[in-house]
Amino acid sequence: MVVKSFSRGFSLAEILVAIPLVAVISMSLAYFGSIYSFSNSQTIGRFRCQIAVHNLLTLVQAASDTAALTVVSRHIQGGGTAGPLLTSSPAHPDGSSALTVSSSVSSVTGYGMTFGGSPAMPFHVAVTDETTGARSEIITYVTTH
Amino acid sequence: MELLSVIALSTIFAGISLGPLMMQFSLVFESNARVAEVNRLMEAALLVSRTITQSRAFASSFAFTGDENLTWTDETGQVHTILEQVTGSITTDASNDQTVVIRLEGKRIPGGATVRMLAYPLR
Repeated sequence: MVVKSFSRGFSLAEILVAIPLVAVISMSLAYFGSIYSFSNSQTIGRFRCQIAVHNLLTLVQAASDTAALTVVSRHIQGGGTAGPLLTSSPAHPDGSSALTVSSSVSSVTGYGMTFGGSPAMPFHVAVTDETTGARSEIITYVTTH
Repeated sequence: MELLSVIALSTIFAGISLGPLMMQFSLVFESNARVAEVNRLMEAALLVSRTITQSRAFASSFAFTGDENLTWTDETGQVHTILEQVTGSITTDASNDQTVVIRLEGKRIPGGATVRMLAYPLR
């Protein structure tokens, strides 16, 4: 039976090889860690966009007698149909950094539907988190546009 | 002398490589916890939103109890705990066509996390 002895010290050459190896492995792990963190921040960004879109559609639903684009524009900085979502708006998911909204009603002939006698048009609303690039978009139909 | 040089070099390299790595790991753990917290709040807010919309529950049937629980009292008077370790408010917003603003503030991570979701009771 062969028993190896580990009691000897490391030579300078071994240490000079081992140290850069540890450094490279550590930096690789740190790199993957940073990718993981970025992925997490993107996930949160996506959550925020989804909530904002849900909130804007809820506001459109509540204001049933008002044009969808008019409702959305009340919550956009500058009052247009596209731009930063007001952080003070109840549609904003957490009131922190601004999200960007874009909304439109498609008027492509043949895409309109009719609900209960009222003509309905496709209504697009999209929210983008500029920090992470995460985006959420919903297309639904509105009768007031 | 050689040994001292090796020890000094080792310490410097270990500091350079392991320091940022440890910091990176702590950032990963923190961001994981934040994702989980926001997800928890989002699911609870969605549940409240659905309850208000579908069962036509009133905002006043939801309460934040002293021990930081979000509860809902149903039509039979039974109290359901929806979420723990949370504060916030569930209020009717008269300026936005009587929508209900659900604002939840989680307490499980340092600094907390906030989610604000709207509901519209179909009455």
